[in-house]
Amino acid sequence: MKIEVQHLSCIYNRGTAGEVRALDDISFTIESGSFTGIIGHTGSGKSTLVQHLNGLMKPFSGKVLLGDTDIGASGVHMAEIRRRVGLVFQYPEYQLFEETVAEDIAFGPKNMGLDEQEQEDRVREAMATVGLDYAEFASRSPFELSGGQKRRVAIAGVIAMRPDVLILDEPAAGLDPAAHREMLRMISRFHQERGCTILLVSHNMDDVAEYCGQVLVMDQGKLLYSGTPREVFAHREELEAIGLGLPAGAELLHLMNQRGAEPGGKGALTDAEAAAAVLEWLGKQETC
Amino acid sequence: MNTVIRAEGLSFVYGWEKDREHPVSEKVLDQVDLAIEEGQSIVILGENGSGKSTLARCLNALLCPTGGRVLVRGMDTAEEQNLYAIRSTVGIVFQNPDNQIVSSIVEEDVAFGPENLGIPTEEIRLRVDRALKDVGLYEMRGRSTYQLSGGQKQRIAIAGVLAMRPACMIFDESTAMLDPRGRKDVLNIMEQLRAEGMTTILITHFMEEAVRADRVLIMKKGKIIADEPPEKIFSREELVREAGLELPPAIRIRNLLRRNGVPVPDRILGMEALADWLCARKKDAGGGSHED
Amino acid sequence: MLRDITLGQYYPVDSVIHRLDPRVKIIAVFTWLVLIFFIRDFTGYIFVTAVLAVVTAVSRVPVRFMARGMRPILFILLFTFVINLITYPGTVLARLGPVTITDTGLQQAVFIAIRLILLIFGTSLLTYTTKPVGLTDGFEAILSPLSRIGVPSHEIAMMMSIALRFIPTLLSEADKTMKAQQARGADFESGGLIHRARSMMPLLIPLFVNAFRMAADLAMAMEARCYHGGKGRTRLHPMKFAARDYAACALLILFAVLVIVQSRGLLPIPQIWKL
Repeated sequence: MKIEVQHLSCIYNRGTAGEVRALDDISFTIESGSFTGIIGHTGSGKSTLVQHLNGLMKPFSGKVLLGDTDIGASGVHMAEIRRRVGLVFQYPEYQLFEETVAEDIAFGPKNMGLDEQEQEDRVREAMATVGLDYAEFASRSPFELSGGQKRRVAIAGVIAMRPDVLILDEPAAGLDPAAHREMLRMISRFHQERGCTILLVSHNMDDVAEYCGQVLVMDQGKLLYSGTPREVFAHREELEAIGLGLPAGAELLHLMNQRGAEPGGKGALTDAEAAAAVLEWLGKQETC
Repeated sequence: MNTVIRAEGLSFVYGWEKDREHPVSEKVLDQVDLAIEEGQSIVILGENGSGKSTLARCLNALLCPTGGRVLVRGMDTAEEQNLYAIRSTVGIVFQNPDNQIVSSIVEEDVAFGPENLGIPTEEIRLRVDRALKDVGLYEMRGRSTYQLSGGQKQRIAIAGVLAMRPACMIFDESTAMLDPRGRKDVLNIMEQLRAEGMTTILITHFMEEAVRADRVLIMKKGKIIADEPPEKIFSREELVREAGLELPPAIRIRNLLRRNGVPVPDRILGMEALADWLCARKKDAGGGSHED
Repeated sequence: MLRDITLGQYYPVDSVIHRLDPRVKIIAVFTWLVLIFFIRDFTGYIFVTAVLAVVTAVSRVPVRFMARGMRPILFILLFTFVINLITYPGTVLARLGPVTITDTGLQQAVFIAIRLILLIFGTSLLTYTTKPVGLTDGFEAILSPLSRIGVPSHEIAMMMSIALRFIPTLLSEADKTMKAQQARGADFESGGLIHRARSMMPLLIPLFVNAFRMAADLAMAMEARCYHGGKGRTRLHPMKFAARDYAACALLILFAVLVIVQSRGLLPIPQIWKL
């Protein structure tokens, strides 16, 4: 589903000394079926932004268009908006509450008013997506699972509503490297199989470079850049100034540039692209 | 060198106090032997549930071994009368910035440890000021802890431990919940403490944080399966993968280059070092081609 | 919403009142609470209100800020006023169907309202001018003579201070959990009482689980920093009586005597509208 944000602003504590412009005149478009990354440090407005996309927060000014629906317009059914735009918060495992894994995942479908059979189908489907075996986990208490498993239950709880857009706020935070990799692969698989539009809030620039087709950079409530990873990560100094790094490959080429070397590979981001650029550059040196 | 911490045959099982025959968990730590020398910087890696945090908590008497023993500067952690001497020698900073701040005012929180130790008021003042300056938050001493960012809260937690004047500091995934800026701040403080001679133990999932350590320990299923300098550890790709870990970014690129015939040596671990080495090689090659 | 509550917050400015020993301020507030119920005529209230106004001016806490703090209790104030107004027998002043307003009723209602306002202004002045740490330290010190008869004064004070420290954290946690469940279609607003109580479970259970997790984490962190109760504990800011504290005590005694003497009608000034 296409998302269009037009001149969106949000102000906290309006009219007091502690007035904060959490969002400041933000506009962008996210195409249906795309995979978009949102980067920016804590307090840059990322969380506020994603909460506007599924109607948890209402625009102070500006518009959020979901397909053809203006979600700020009167008469729009918020429950429907929230179902279509699934939002997985940071550390979602802390929101589990039901007695069994299956019941917790069924919470969303139940709130949608689906019958029991449909609820169970949704639960099975969602558990398969996040890689939890139904027979093994469905009737267990979510509180006795490991941290990584709890997180997958929580994500399944959102996926079970079959959203058209899935927003994940740092889904891999705190996971060990293997679980981190597995989490991103799972999201990527889900994206490809369902054609679901994905928004990924992340601090990991390597993940952003690898998976995202578009990147939004937030800073102090403003949308600083929006474009392909290649375009965005070309602004090295600016990103560094707001406390954000580069993907590993881009970082290496940047450091080499600083040392007066000029390996080509403009726009190289991943390890492989950087290695290729360095090899080409070394080859050139040796032939001339 | 002086040994700060020594673990001998250290084992730990949860729920052992209640029922020795039927402990609640499997062995979380299994016959761990470890000696940490004064001034060393150690990084502990391992997948979730490998026993890293339990090990950390055994090293400063927050948990008592169920088998073997732990000595901190010769003091046995199992003996009650050593408790406060041990905990002020080996300090620990935890993962969640919100859940380890005791007081609602910055300087009061930093003073919490020394207050518990019964340090005289004038001395507490000196220690609190020193510790806050060390973490760069002296100006914020009167502020409310609630308004601080995650990174600032972790720096307060570090200051709180520093004010106890420890010889060793454990960072138990203290960077895991921070954004890149907060992480960088905490790591910089850690480096600075290390330069001043502090023994540091960092538990982390970020591989790039391991490359500057003196020793890297890899844990799996309650055992230390490797204990070597980073250049050795990260040249054993197989071992790293088996432990559920990955290689740091610079080493991933280094290995790609190696596979294509560029002989980058093992000692190149960080991105800066790799860039330096490549540029130096270009100069050599450039110089060489001129002579031809 | 919740963030608008100014009642009970600390107002960070520097003043003599801020610098007073918390013990003096706590005792003063308790004395104040007792005294305002002693007064039985209008003259007395004019006198204590004037004193409160002077103290407030000295404290440099803006009156507007304090008045904003009154907003949440406006309803209670109005409620008690109306109840008192219509429940006392006496000379009828007005009649509205079965409801009668009497002269005693009016007087009682006005006095109760004045007492409540003075009570809240007085106590909130304590919290506006005393850091939570000072408050808990003060309570601990005042309770400490009772520790000989087994009252855990240090523990009570520590629990108070941790509770104060975690209130904002728990509020933001509640906010997050609420939003997360709303994102899954939870509805906290509509339905009858029972339905609403049931619909709170997805909010309350995670909140409790998280509170316990926080408590466990915090206990571990406190132990790691050598906490072992109040025994042998020193303080960064030990409480010391300064000259100003002695002066404040003297003024407090003078004030109390004046109020008591006046309320007994022993002063050569008229007692307006005596109860």
